[in-house]
Amino acid sequence: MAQIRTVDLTKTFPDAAGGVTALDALTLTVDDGEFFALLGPSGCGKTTLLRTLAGLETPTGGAVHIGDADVTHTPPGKRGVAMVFQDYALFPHMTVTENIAYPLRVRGASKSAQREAVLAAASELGLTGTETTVGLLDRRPGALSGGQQQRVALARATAANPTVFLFDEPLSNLDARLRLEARTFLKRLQRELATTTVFVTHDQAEALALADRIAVMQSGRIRQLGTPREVYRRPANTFVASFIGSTPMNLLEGTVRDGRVLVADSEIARPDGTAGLVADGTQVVLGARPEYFRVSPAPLGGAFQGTVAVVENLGSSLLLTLDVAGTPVQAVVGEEDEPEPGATLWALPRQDRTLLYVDGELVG
Amino acid sequence: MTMRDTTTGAVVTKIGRYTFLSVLLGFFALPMLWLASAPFNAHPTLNVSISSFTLHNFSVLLKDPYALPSLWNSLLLAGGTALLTVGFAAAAAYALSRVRVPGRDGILYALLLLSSIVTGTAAMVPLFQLAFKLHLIDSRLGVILVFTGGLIPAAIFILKDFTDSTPKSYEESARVFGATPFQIIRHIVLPLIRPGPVVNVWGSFLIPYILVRNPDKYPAAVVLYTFYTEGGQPNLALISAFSLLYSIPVILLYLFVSHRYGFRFHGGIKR
Repeated sequence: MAQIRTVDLTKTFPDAAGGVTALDALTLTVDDGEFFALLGPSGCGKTTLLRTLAGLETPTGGAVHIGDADVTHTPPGKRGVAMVFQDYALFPHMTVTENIAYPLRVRGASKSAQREAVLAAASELGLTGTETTVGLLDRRPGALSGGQQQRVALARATAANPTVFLFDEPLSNLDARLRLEARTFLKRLQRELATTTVFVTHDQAEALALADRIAVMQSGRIRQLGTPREVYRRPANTFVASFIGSTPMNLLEGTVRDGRVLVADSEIARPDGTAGLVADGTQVVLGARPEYFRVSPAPLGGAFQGTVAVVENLGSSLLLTLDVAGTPVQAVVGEEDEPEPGATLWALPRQDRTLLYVDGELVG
Repeated sequence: MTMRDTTTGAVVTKIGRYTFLSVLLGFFALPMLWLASAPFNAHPTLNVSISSFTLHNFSVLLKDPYALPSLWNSLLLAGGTALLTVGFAAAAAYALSRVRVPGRDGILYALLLLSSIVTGTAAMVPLFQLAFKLHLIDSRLGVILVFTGGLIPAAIFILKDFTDSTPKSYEESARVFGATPFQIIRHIVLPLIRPGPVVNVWGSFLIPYILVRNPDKYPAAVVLYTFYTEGGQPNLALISAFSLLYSIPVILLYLFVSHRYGFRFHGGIKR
C-alpha cells in the first residue's frame, strides 16, 4: 500500500538533434489504493513514465517517491513494484506454476512457500477450479489463450505481493470481445486487492472505464488530470477534448457576439457558465459532443441548420455528419430516426454541455 | 481424356522423381554402407560386402600406440575449442544484442568477413610466430586458441540472432521482480537461447575435430595418414575401422542435438 509521487520528473533520450524530451518536469501524485490511468497518443511519454516508476529507466532529473521512500535511484527489484508488460513477458520455457512462482524464487523463498503463493494467486485470478483450467498450471505459456496468458501475468504480479502494480497496455493484446471481459475482471481485481495501480493506455474508453483518475498526456506533459467524469465532461483544452470520447467532440471555430457564439453561419447560445468571461469579438472554439444534440426535421431556434452528408450506424444509435454552411458538424441520434442523406435538419446543442475554448484552453 | 492425361503425367513424374531420389540416396549411402561393413571384413576391398566377418581390425587398432590416444586428443581439442568459442561468443552476442553500440552491424560483418577471408593457410605463418612467442607451440592450448579465434566471429553472428529474437521484456520483467543480472542470465537468457549455443558447440566441435593436424599431439586426422603402407598403398582394413571409431563422437553429438532441439540450424537465418 503506497502513494506514488513524482517531482519535476524529467527524461530526455539522446538523439542526433540533441535529445527527445519524453518527460518534461512532471509532478504527479497517485493516491494510495488508486487505479490511475496514463492516457495519451503514442510518443506522449506515458510508457516512459511507467518504466521510470518501475526503475527500468533512469530519470534525467527530478525524483520518484513510492510510499515514504525516495526510490529515484533504487533498482527495479527493490521498489516493491510489480509490472505486467504489454506482451505479458511470460517466460516461455517455464510452466505456469514456475512463472507465477518466479518472484518468490528470486527472493529465495522455500518450495512450500512458493507452492502456497502460486495456489493463492492462481485461485484469486480464476486459474484453478473450473473445467477449462484443468492442468493449466502445468502448461507452458505457449499453450494458453491470450486471456489466460494475461491472467497468468497478473497472477505472477500478484504473487510478488507488491505495494504498487504497473500495467503497460494491459488489454491491447486481447481481441475486442475478450477485452471487455478482461476489463471488467481487471477492475474487480484491483478493487479487491486495493493496491495502488498505474496503467498505461492509448485507448480513452479503457481509461474512462477502469481508472479512478486519468492523466491525459501529450509531449511529456500532463494536459489534464481528473476523474473520468471530469475529463469527459469538461476537457481542459482542445487536445483533451479531441482525444476523449468515442465519437470525437465537434470543435468549431467562431467568434463571440452579443452573448452568443457565431459558428458556421449559425448563432449558438453561449455555453452555461461563460457569461461575461469572454469579450465580444474574441476568437473562440465551441466544443459540443455529438451525443448532446437535439436533432429535428423542423426549425429550432439557435440550432445548426444543415444537410445530412453521411449516416453511420453505431448499433443503438446513428452518427450523422451534417454539412452546415461548409462546416461538418456531427450529431448522434436514436436508431429509430434514420434520416435520408441530403435531408435538411436542425441540430441544437445542449447549452449545459457545450464548452468554450479560447487559445485552446477551457473558459469557465 | 484430359483427366487421364494428367494422371498418367503425374505417375510418370512420380516415377521419375523417385528414381532420381533413389540414385541420389545410393550415391550418399554407399560410402556409409562401406564404412559400416569394411571394418568387419578380414580382406576389405572397395566393394560393400562382408565376405569374412572379423573384429581383428579393431584389435589391431587397440594395440596401436597412437590410434586411441589420437582419438582422445581430437576430442580434447574439439571440445576445448567448442567450449571456449561458445563461452566467449555468447557473452559478446548478448552484449551486442542488448547494448547500443555505434556501428554494431558494421563491426559484426567486418569480423565475419575478415574471419572468412584471412583464414587457414594465409594466416598460418603469423599464427605460428605468435604461438612461438607465446610459447604455445607443442601445446594443445595453442591449437584450441587458434581454432577458437577463427570460429568466434561466425558464432557471435549466429548467437546474436538468437538473442535478438528474444524479447527484452523477459529480462525486464525478471529485473522488476528483483532478479540479479546473474540470475537473469541463468534463469531467463541462457534457457531461451540454449538451442543456439548447443548448435554452436556442435559446429565448433566438428570443424577442429576434422581439421586438427598438429603434428605433435597427433590428433586422429593425422593418425589416419599412418595407415598407409610404405609403398603408399592404403591399409583399407585399418583405415575403415579407424574411420568408424572416428565418426562415433560426431554421430553421438548429432543424435543428442537432434533429439533435444530437433536440429534447428536456423541461427543467422530469418525464420
